[in-house]
Amino acid sequence: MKNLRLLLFAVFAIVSVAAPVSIIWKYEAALRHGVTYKFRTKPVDPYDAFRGRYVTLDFAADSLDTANDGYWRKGPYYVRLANDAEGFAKPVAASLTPLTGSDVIMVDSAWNHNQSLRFTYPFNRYYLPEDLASLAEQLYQRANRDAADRESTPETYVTVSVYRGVGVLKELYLHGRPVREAISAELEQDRR
Amino acid sequence: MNAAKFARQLVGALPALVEQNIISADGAEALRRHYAPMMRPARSLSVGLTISAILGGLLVGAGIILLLAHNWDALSRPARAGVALAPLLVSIGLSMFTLWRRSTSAAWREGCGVFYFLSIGAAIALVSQTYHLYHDLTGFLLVWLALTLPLIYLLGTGTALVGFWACVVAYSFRLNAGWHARELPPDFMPLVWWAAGLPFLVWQVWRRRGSLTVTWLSAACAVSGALLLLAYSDRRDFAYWQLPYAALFTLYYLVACRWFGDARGWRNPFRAVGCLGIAAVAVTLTFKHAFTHRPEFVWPWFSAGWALAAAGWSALIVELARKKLSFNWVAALFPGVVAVSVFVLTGHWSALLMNLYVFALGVFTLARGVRRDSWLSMNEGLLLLVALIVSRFFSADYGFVARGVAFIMVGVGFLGLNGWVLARRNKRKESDR
Repeated sequence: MKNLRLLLFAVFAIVSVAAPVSIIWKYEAALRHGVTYKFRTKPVDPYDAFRGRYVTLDFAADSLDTANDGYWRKGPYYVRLANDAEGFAKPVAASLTPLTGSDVIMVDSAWNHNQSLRFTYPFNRYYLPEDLASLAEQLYQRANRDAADRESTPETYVTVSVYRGVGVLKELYLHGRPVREAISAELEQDRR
Repeated sequence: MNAAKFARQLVGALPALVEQNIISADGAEALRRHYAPMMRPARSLSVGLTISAILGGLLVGAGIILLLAHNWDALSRPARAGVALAPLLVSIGLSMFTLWRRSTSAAWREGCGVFYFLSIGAAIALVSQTYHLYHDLTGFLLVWLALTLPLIYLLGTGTALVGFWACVVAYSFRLNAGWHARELPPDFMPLVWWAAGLPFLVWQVWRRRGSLTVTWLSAACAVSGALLLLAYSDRRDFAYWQLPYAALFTLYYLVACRWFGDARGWRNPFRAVGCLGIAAVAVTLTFKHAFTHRPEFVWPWFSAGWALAAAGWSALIVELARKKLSFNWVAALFPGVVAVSVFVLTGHWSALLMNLYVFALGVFTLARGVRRDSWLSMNEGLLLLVALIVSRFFSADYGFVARGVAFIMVGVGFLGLNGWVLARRNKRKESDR
């Protein structure tokens, strides 16, 4: 009886380790073999007790014109991506049936309003060390203000690696620089 | 008296028995050798050890979560993946050791259980953080639930069950509460998950009904069950909300009468939560507006849930009557009265029936308390009557004089009854002497 219990526990232990390992495997594959896209963002800075500080990302190109209206259902939706003239990703097709290709990403939910299908990308958080997250937010606010003064689009975006429907965030860019570099430059400027 | 306690007392008394020449030194030594293996630490000590182990596991696990949440930028991705798995691997090692060498120790099982439970959450959370994964709390909770359920049964840990039920409640709110969920069919999987933890509680009740573990597991079960129902209450199709609540709290009360009849107060969580719930729902339903909202439609699953609750309710009443166990009949009839108010009557008449019911429940509980000389029941009945009167006099247009007289009468009744019972008890004590 004791041996059986130990055996069952060993099986369970393997499963409980396999769960996070399978997630690691899936996203490592996407990072190593995926195609990189750039997405324009609008970050803010909330707090998650379990997963630490992060920047919540909202994307400019998160909808698609559609002929239908009032349709809403739980995903997954398959969204095909393409680059616009400025090199930023935009959705060009969405389907409830699987689409194939290295330019397809799976999204979790979508809703249809005013003949526009809106969806949530499966990468809406960028985690940062707790001491950097608030600085990232300040920089973002300034980038927005400066862009508003110049009547131009703020250069805040993320790069995402897309592979077999999986999208993984690679980097967050503020003022066109990787977030950590932007923060370092800001701190350096403050010291002077 | 249990064997361990008897062994402790006997071995403790041996020196005195030898000194008084009642038994020989050799005989005492033989008895000590025989009873020593049966001696376990005193209950208070083992409870203390278990609580310390749970707190230790909880603090260490929570500390690890906070450390990992800092987001160590200096570590590479593979290193962070290793860090994510490290607490899990340590908890696996400790749990294997517990099962192998310390399976009878509640302190080891509970300490390892809580640490393992938190390690699972920490591992998934850190992997999510490393790969900036989607804010998918529902998926996160589901994985956590699925990995905790086997742990509860394999390690025999009640603390993991409490954490598991807390996750089920959060999972249910994610699926069924909020504007986005209101338009979709209700998701009943949280109820299935919640029920999956029940056999562990039943097993504990069967093994040692009067234990502290059963008390706090019952409390967790009763509270999580009520909160689980609350997750559905915001839904457009969750009209007739009165019935599920009435059924749930009455079932709690009947379960308490059937299996925990001897326990009182906080030692009987099903009774405490059940009675409180019945009183709260009943008094709420005495207001007319409680019956104004009618559902546009009702998902068939809700009807199935009602049928199941009705079957359980009838079976428990039959069982209590068959075993001749004492219970409050008027409280047991609560779901039936609510069903009549909801389905047969409307508006003003529904509220009137509920007012009469609350009054009857209060008077019956009070009379039952007097008959059984139970201070708790008497005050429960009186409080219910007070709640009814306070509700009526705040909700209706009665004059100040009428309200004043009514409050004074109830207050005097309250004091007079308590005084009368006290006098009766003193008289009985004197006659006993």
